[in-house]
Amino acid sequence: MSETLLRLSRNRRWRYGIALLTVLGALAALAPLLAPYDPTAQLGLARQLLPPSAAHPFGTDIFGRDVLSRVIYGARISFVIALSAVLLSVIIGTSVGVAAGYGGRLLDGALMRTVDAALAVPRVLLLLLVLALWERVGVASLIIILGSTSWFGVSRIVRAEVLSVRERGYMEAAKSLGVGQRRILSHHLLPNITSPIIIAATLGMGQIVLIEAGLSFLGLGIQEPTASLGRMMQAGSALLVNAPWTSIFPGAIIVLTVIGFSLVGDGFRDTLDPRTA
Amino acid sequence: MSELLRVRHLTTSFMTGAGLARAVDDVSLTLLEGETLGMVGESGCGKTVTALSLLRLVDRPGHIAHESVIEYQGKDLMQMSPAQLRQIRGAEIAMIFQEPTASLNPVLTVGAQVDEAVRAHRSVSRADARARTVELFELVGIPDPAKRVNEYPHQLSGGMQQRAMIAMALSCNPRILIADEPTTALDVTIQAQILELLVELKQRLGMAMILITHDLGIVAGVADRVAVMYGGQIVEQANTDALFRQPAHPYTSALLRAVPRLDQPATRLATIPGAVPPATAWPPACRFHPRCPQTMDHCKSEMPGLTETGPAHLTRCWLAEEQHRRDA
Amino acid sequence: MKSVPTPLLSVRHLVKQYRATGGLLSRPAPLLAVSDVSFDLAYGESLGLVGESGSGKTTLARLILRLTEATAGSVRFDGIDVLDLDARSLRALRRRIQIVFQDPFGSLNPRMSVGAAVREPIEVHNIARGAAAVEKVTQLFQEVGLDPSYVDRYPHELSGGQRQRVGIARALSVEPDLLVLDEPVSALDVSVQAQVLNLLLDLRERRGLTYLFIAHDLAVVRHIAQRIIVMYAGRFVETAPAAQAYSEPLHPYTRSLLSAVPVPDPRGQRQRIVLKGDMPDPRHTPAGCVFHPRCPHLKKDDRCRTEVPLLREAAEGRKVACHWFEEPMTVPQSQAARHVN
Repeated sequence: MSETLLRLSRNRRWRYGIALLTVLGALAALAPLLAPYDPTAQLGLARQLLPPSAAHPFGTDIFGRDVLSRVIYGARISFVIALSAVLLSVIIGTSVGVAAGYGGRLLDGALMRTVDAALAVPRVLLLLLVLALWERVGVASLIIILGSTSWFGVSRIVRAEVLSVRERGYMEAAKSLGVGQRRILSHHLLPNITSPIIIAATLGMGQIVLIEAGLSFLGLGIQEPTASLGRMMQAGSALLVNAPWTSIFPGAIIVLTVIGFSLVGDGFRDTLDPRTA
Repeated sequence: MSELLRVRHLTTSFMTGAGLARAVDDVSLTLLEGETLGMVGESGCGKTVTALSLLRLVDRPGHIAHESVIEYQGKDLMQMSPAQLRQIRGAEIAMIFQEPTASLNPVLTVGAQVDEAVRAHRSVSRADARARTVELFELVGIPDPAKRVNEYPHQLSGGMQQRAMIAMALSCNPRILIADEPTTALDVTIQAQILELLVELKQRLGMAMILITHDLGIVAGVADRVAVMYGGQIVEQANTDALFRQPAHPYTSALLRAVPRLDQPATRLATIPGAVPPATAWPPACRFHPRCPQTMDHCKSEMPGLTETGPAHLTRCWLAEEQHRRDA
Repeated sequence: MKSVPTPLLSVRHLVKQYRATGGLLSRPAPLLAVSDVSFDLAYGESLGLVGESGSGKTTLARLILRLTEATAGSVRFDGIDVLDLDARSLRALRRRIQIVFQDPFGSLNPRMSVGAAVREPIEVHNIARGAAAVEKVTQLFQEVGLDPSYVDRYPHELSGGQRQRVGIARALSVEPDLLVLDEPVSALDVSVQAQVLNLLLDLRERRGLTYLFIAHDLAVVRHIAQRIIVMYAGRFVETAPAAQAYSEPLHPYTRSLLSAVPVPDPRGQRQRIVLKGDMPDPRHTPAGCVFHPRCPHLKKDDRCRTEVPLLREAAEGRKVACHWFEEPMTVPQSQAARHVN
């Protein structure tokens, strides 16, 4: 394992990505300590739409709220949603992928046709459909919605990997040693399919951040007054000329987060995937 | 017989994650016209890299040291331009490999691939090239050649694929054929066919051959002279008969005793302790000393040179050198 | 009446036929990998199963271990009908039949330390737990000649010979009666191959193991086996005590195979029989004797082309499937090549 870390640390993209995500992650994790103001507190009429200054480095928005504080809290929510949703999608995707790859032809056929059908529906359309059924979207429900609609790709990757790993000699060796089915899955199969899962999960994080921002931008995601990067951009878009800081800063954070996850994901792919290494 | 190939101080190294690997270290050898030189050794001893280096087919991160000399009929390949090298590769010195399946392009017919080899060195029409291909297939004993040229590699058996590879190598009547483990991937009965074919072709076409193998049985039956490699170096070189009768290097004799064989009683095999070290960690001084049953202090402090220990018999071993001096 | 000891393993009329798969243009034809083979393996015996690739020897081993399901026939191990066991009893049986694979690297989980790989079957079968299991792993490592400090290493950190020793230690960990060795030394270098062969000889003696040793290399088998079976295109063509099989082979295929093995002695080169052609395509096996298209026997006639020769008793403990084995096998000149130096 330490050897893998060493190889990763030699990968420049991975290093930059990790550095970027560490900063953003720390920002999100330590939000209550770092944010100078309460992100939802309206500081009064006199402080509406102030440009960046020493007191408000990112300025204030139309309601007189501190943009820096809102960006920090927004990043926090983005991270929480992305992490939880990806975790959910990896759990569902891995289970379905393993079941399809290991459970025999019939199950494989049924599961994969379902996934094909789901993948044929555009992602945003699917989300709009699901969201339309929801009355009020909170953080938890958003995580469930995003997680349960983004595992299709993961399940396909996992299935392909399972189909390849199940033919390896050590799987047969374990079987011939009398090792039970469950233990073969947990000790021989799963540890050998983690690399593509890690790669897919990391790249998936960036996508979820974007989708969540997009949904919030459309007004379908996190509701006011909770700080959300997408929502902030949407509110700021009307003021792009007069008060660009209200939308540029949240936008920049979104871009940096996505870049961070992409770099790390590419780094993982370069070092963990034997086919490209 | 005149010298066809003269190699001096051939050194090829690779930069790897684990450090510098001197895969081939100061190898000197001579190939006479029409002779078969066997190169034996276990995996990781530098046989294949030597073969590739002879045609300068070593790519980065590999590197052939500048002081290496590879003279073919008096011309040094090390000094040649890429264009000049292409005139030699395939046309004068050809090579066949262990895995015919891996060396053949699966989406082209075998005939098309041999046509290509024919046309690479001669400006002939497609039809003439095809005629030559059919002739070559016949030469290497592929039955029904006119039909087989139109088949794809997967339609041929392993033995037939290797015959097609040999046909390709012979397309320009090379003077030297380098065969790198040509029968290792094949079954015993097919191996016998291919060896028979190589010996017959060599005589018919007057080629010289370098036969690389790990199988002492194969060199015993085919080679005129044998070079034994260990740790990237030639450790012993002699006429085949002398090498098998009076092996002078402890590695050679240990290897001969470790081979299971049919012509002697099935007794317990002698073993060589340990394994071949990786090229990044050759032991200092004599490279065989950690595994040698007759190691002396001298072996651990200084590398022995390749010295004459008999008529046309070279050995890289302090003990053999000492014994030869005493006998003389 | 003389009491015949029951064999440890008894295989009867075992058949494996793969379902027909056709290419894009070719008509599907069923593939007969193992065709009606029967043999017994006595307690403590060491039997060599010899054949070239495509002979069906590995499929036969897999059928016995039920890593592949047989099409027909029976396999009895110590009186137990192996092909009839449910999954649970099969797992229990696997304690008693173990296999060592050809590729020691591929058969070890890259994410598991070699110590854990050897300990796993010990714990799965409840042979020992905790410290006792660790102790047993140490003992096994010592027994197969591995430094016990290697337990925490991963397969890629070991050499080929060391990995194969791990494979052997793992197979021995459940204290099996029968060890199936599927080409256990063919991936190894000569010097390491000798080490592993000697280890196998020692282990058999020390533990009283029964071996089914599968290999293509006749010289290697000779060092291990007391009796050999020669397979060709899914069939047994000859079975004999090893000494006789090597000194006076009866089947033309066995003779050709033996004569084709290179001898590491430039002065000891023998008359070679170089067989023409390849092993038949298993989807289109020839009628009559499967070997007839390549057979160098001068007596070869229409009977060989039409009538399948039965495996019949040639002498005490010897069986041969050839219509003409009693006749001296003179070889046509064109097929005998004296190897030139």
